Amino acid sequence: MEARDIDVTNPNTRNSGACRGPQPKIAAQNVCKSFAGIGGAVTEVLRDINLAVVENEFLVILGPGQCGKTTFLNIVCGLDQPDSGSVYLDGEEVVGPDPKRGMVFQRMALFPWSTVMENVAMGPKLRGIGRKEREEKAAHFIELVGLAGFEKSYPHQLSGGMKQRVGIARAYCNDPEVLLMDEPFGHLDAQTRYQMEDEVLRIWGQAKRTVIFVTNNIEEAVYLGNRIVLLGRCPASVKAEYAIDLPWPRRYTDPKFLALRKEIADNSDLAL
Amino acid sequence: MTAEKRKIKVQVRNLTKQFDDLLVLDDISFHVYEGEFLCIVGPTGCGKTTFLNVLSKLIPASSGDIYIDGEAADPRKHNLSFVFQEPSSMPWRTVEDNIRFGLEVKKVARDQVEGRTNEMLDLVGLKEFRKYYPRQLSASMDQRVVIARAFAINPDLMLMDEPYCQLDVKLRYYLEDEIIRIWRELKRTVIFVTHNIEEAVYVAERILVLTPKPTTIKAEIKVDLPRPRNFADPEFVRIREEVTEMIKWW
Amino acid sequence: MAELTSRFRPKAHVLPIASLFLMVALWQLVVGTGNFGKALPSPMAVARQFWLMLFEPIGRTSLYGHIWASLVRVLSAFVVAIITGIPLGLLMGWNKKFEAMVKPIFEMFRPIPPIAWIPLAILWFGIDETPKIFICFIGAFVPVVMNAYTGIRFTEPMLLDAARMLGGNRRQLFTEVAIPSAMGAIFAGLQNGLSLSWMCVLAAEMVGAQEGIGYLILLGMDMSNPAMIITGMLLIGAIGAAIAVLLRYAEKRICPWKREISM
Repeated sequence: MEARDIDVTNPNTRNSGACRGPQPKIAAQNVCKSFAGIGGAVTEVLRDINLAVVENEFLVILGPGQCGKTTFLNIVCGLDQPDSGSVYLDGEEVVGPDPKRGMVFQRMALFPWSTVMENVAMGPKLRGIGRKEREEKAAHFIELVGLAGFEKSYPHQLSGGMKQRVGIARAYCNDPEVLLMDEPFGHLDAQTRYQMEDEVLRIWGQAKRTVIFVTNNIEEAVYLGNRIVLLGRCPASVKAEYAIDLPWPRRYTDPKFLALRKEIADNSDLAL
Repeated sequence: MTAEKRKIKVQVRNLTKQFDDLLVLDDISFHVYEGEFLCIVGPTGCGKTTFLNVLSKLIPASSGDIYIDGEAADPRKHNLSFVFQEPSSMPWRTVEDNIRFGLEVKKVARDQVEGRTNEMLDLVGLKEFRKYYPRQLSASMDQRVVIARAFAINPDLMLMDEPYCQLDVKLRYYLEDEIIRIWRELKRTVIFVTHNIEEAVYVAERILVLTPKPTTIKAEIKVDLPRPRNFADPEFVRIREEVTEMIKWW
Repeated sequence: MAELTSRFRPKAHVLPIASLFLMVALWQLVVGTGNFGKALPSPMAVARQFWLMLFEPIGRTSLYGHIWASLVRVLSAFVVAIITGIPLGLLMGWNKKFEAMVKPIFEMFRPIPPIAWIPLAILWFGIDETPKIFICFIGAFVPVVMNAYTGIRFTEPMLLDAARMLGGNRRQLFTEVAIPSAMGAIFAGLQNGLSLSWMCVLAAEMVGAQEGIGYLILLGMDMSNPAMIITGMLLIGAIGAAIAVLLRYAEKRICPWKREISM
């Protein structure tokens, strides 16, 4: 996978036609968001976020904790609205949640009263697809994420890694064009996290979609992404972009990998 | 400073723990030197938590002995401190009261309590927050309160069970540096359990690698790198890969 | 962990049984001192009375007939409470406008105990079955509504977000997320409602009943037969406990996703 050299961070370009390369799948233009806190204090969380994601790219948004990454992802998903600026999917403005943009949540957000099969098939169910058809579809994705045999299990019977796989299968099953992942491995222990990182790359390889993956872990970002967008602290804006041209499978201890990690760390408020 | 020249602080011999017909710990023997920073790593589900619980006498061992300074380990006689994964500060006590708690339980003299509390507050850098309640603090500050409380009683043995795994990567690295700094100043014996091999190589003087259940010690690896350690250093990388290989291949 | 629980079970039975035994022994002791005279019958007297009632009809019908009469009243009341209460609670929790309209009225009536409704019930319905069922209904209604309401209010926002992300509309969020999420609270409401309703049966049967366990207690009072009173009370307790167990069993079948909190 080669990284592409696309420069869309120039805030002066308001038209998608001004960027080099093909039409972006997702374009965020001057997105701003603030939250009213307790006592009327207003916290500016996102300031003038401009970025573009190319089709089938694995983009990683890297930033320190509590800096608005989740807010931004919610805006892209349509669960939240920006105060100003817009997000476009294939040129159309995002105004609300849509099956075209599937999300994998940090805390899994699986429905505890549903089995794995029911969870994964929920998207098609909500869209009115018949039982047989949606269960076949769900079965395919359950197998893709490596949980064949667990269709009838309930979330509380699964480990953290397995729960997150269900989350991924559920997002995939709804035929999204874009997959949004909000620090999905943040609450897993280190070893499970490494396993899941390999899994997500494998799944992405077998079922290509455009992915926006959010994390605060530089190592994870360098391991996974075609391209990394670095966000600064609150109020967050795009600080830098990195194209990763290391071939997959990548090695955490490869000297180039480590050098890249160090470079990003020096440039950010993040730890190594 | 090589560990071998120091005397042995903790001796564990043939430690076994069995729950009905499930053998969790299988004949574990090892020792910890005085003032050493020992890390314990192992695959997911290898009984690390049981191991720590038995070590800290929270649950009894099925067989085997634990000696501290040559005597059988006794929570009443010896000072054992435990830092858990979730911040375990008491929400109804202020920062300084939390730190005082251990000292009060150990019935330390009044004037010493104050002095020690102030020392600890200084050490973890929370002096200006002493009257705050835990819910007013950030996650890393909360953990620092717990660490201060744990160190305040001058523990013979400090047990830390993945204390940073719930925290942001950045906070985790900051607290790793903190714990090393505090450890060097106070020269306490620390056993630090973690899943994160990079973290282990970063903090440890020696690493014990555990097997999956029934758990024994697979290997012991010395980490003789100068501090502060650099994760990109080839020797660091080599040790990290060595430990990773051991855990992966079963 | 399963091993641990199975080991403890025999011990778990010894303590409660021993404690009950002790209580009965204490009771017998107190009676033996003679301080209470006829007012407090001995455990043996109560047991004897119970034995009698098992075989001889009391009033119009046998003991089983009385138990059945009370059960029918409570269960009818309970069913009506479920049918009216759950939807009301769910809607109150989900729809802000509805909540604003209905909740204040509800809050006003909530503190009024079921017993206080008896005079009004008699006035409205006379003294046949209806007022009795009405009283039991009042008992069950409040917890059922309040629990359904809280259940919906505490729906995890992230789950609603997940459903919205998958493309659910507002109605689907209600039926597919909010209601299943509230099942635990709903069942807690049912448990409370049923037990409250059952406790009301005595008050309800004060309104000109000819059958029922409450009637037995009142009969015992009329006939100065304290053993019958106590038997009636113990019966109310025992049957109340039995229906609670049945309801818990039903919950386990309907909500298999609830994690077991054993011990």
